[in-house]
Amino acid sequence: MSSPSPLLAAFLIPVWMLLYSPMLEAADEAPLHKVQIAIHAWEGYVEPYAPGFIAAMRERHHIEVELVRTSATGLDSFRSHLRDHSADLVSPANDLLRTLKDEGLIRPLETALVPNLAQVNPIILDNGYFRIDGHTWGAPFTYGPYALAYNRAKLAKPTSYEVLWDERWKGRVSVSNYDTANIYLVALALHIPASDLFRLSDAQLARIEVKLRELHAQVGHYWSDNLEPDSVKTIDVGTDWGIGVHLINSKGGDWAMTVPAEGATAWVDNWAISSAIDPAKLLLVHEFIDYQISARVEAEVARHTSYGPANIYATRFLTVAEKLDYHITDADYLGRLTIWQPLDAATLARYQAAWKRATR
Amino acid sequence: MKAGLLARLLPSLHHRILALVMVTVVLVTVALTALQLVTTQRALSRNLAEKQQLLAHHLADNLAVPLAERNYPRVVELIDSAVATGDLSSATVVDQRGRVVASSAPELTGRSFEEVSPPVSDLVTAPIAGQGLVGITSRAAASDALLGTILVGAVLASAVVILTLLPIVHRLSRGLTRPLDQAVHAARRMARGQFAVVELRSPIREIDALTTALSEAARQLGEGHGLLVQARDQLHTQVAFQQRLIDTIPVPVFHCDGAGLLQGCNDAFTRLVGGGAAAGRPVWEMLPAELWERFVAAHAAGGVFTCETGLPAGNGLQFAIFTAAPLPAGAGHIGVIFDITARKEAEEALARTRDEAIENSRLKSSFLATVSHEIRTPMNGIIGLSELLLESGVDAMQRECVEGVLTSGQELLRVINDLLDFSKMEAGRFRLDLTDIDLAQVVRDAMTVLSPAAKSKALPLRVVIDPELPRLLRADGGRIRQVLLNLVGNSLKFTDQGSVEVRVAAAAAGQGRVTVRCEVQDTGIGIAEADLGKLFRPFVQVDGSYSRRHGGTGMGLSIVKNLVELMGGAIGVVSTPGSGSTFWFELPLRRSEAATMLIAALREAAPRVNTAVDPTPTASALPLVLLAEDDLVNRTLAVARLVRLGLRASCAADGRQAVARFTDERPVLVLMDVHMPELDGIAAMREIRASLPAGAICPPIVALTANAMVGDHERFLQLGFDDYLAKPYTQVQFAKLVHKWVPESQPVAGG
Repeated sequence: MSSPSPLLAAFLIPVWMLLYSPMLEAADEAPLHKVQIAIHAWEGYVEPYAPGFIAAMRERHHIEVELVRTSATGLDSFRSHLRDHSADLVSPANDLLRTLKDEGLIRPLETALVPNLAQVNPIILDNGYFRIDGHTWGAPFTYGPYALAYNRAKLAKPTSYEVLWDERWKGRVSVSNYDTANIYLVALALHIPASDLFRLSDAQLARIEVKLRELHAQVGHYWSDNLEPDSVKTIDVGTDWGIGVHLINSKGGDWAMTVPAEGATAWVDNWAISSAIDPAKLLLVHEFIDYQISARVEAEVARHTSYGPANIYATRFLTVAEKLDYHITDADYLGRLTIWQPLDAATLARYQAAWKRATR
Repeated sequence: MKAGLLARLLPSLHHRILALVMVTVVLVTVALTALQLVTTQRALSRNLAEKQQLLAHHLADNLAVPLAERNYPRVVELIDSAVATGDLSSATVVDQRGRVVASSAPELTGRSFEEVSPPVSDLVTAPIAGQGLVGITSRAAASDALLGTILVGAVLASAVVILTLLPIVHRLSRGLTRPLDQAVHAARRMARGQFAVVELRSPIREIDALTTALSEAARQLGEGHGLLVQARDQLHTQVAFQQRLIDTIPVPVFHCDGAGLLQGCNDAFTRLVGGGAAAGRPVWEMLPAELWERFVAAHAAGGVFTCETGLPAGNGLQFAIFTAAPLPAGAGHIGVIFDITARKEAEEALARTRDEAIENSRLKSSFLATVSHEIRTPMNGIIGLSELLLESGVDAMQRECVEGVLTSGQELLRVINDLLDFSKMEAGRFRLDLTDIDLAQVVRDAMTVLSPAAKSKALPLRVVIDPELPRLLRADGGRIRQVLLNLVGNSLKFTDQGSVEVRVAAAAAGQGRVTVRCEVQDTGIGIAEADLGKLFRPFVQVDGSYSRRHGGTGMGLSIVKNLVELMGGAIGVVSTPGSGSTFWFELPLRRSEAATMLIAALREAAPRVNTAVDPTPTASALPLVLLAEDDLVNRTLAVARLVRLGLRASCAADGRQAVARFTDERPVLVLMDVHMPELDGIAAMREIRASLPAGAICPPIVALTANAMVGDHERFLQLGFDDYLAKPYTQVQFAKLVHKWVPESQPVAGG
């Protein structure tokens, strides 16, 4: 952690107290002051847990918090909401943090105000993608592999990505339209070392593009948010973040996620704060982040999304079955995942260009 | 306070025995329990430590794989499982960098192990296959439960023991204390005066000894109580007697405590204070308050207080002597009031009488002085002129007549002198004129005076003076001479045949003192033994016929006795009727030889006035004496005597003339009558002295006066006169006086 954070926190707390002190003093007599926090985040990240936070703020600060979430779709949606100041908080994946930071759209967190950050899985912490220039730009919240999803009713557990290129499932394959994620997947399928995934050479990228083109021929449906339950009638195998499988199963499906022998890349969603946020909301959004990454909420998040909780203590609040379902304590899971790294603009452009060419 | 609480909680010996036994049981149980607890706790601690080590290593083994796989949720799961078993209170996993990666306390995650590790004594660590370590702390719940069980068991055991022992101890204690209770009842009966002997027995030796001693004490107390009752009755009788006795005392008596509150009194006191003598009433409300303060102060000083005081009117007493004494041991004070009202009244009456008597005496003395003066003045003329007449040559018939006049005058003068002396003695105003005297010369002078009387009766008058008698003594020569004249005169008076002998000797001598004994022995008629006792009483004569035959006032010997005693001596008489008498007196006198010698030496060296150059001086060269005298007869007589003494005389009829003549004539001696018209002798003397220049020598001024009362001599000397001669004086007295101051004058015959 950086040294200025405690000092800044020491400055922010009095400022916040000063700004909200009239509300605090008059709490008993006056109606609760309402504060709205605009959140641009993925589905399932806010609403199920909002009542706990709202109640806590009402009790602790006598503030009526209103959490207004808009659905995120990716870098562009994050960027646009941050630029037009319609989001106080965003939940970008780990590979987007640097981009948003470099564009000045987010601001560093005050880590002293987010003590639960210490409880984040050391694998994520050690990756350190969220620490740039000595500051912490996001709080890891959930993670998930971009791995194989399959209908157990149709096929046995696949052990390699090659199943996607299996002629038997041609047209019944569904993968994400997330370009970089597919680049990484194909690289792993080509047994390119994981350490090269975020700095692929042109030769490697060329091989990947060829392999992508082959995959494109196999794919019956590209999904944008997650593997879509409605498509399972025409799909038997594919890729997912995890939530798609969760949704399918919740509607009676019998799908499963698996990390094949080649391993998988993993995303980590983070909570980041808009650089244009009203200072009066700073303490509140830090409290929200700390609440969200607490073990109890993380367990709820896992329960709702099947995503891996960043907080390792979430396991305390999950049943054995849940832990198995969500691979919470699966040694072959997060340990074999390669967490996405932010890409510089040139690399990203190269990757996106390759993707576009392959999927034309 | 503690004793009081103990007494309330455990009011009896029985309770205390019970409490003592029970407390002992509890203490023993507590001690044994504590011992058991300590022993068990140590054993448990050892077991716990071993178990902790085992658990730590077991947990470390379990954690090795998840940590190697970086499966941190699994790590959390494992440590939660270990803690959930109940054996551990905490478990913490630390990576190789010393960072907490997982802990049963999530808030510790991410912190350094040193920062969060508990005290070393509670922590057991085990390495995790080169990936860090796990630290655990154990719950003491199991050992606590065991210790609690032991404690509960000990309490239950104590309760069982107490409940078992309680009736036994109760019974034993009752057996122990019952005789004591009986003894207490017996003692209470004794306290109520019931001393009937009760035999109290106990199987316990000490208590039996106590109850036996109590029975014996009851017996002896019973006897003693009887005696006490008897003594009390006697005491009551005695107190009543004493109260009656005190009540019969007519003087008020009271007793108060140290604060002055009345404790008791007699009837007289009650009457004195008008019946308000209630016990407890302050005495200063009944007596003058300052009296109480004074006698308390006196008692504080440790003395008995006595004072004469006045009392408020209305109670019959006006004056009293108040005496108060402190009682021993601070028991208060006892006071007695003596009524001295009558005595005070008597004293006041006596004082009035005394004052009246003094006034009467003063009037009498004044009268005597006046009478004496008035008699002496003409007597001086009678005697002096008779002497001059006898010396001027008269025939036998005339001589006989003149001598008769002279004798009668002298006798009359003696009677007057006796009267005056007696008057002085009676008034206590007799004063001795102590001077340095030659006692032998005094005796011879007296004999010279009496020798004519002896010659007239053809009686030999012998004088024997002890040669050892000191020559100079300190005494009143005039009074010794008066005593001798009286005694020898009496002997001559009552002796017709035989002789009269006077013996003077030193009877005893000491350091500067000598006792002179004088004896006057005659061969006269003697005195009957029965009359010797009346001899020295005033106005008494042994035989009235003597008075008629020999004359006299009967005061002589009384005066002589008073004179001798006044001089510190004694007088007596040895007499045989028909053979004669020996009167004696002894005087203790003081030697004064040195002073006399000094005076003699000074006299020899003193400048003489008009020192005689010519042994046969002319009349104008004779020393001039100024005589101030208003009485013509006395002035004539004095001038004649001065001429006979070989001197010139200048006369003044009053004081004014005397002053004028002194200034003009400068005499060598001034004879000054005191009572004179115009200017009296005293004023004239003072003017003369005042007229002299400073440092000039004033000639002697001698007072001549018929004032012969007690103290006159001393008074005139104090007024400023150099000498004093009382009227009437004889030729010899006059000549001696003049010769004393003017040695050039002719010495007197026989002097």
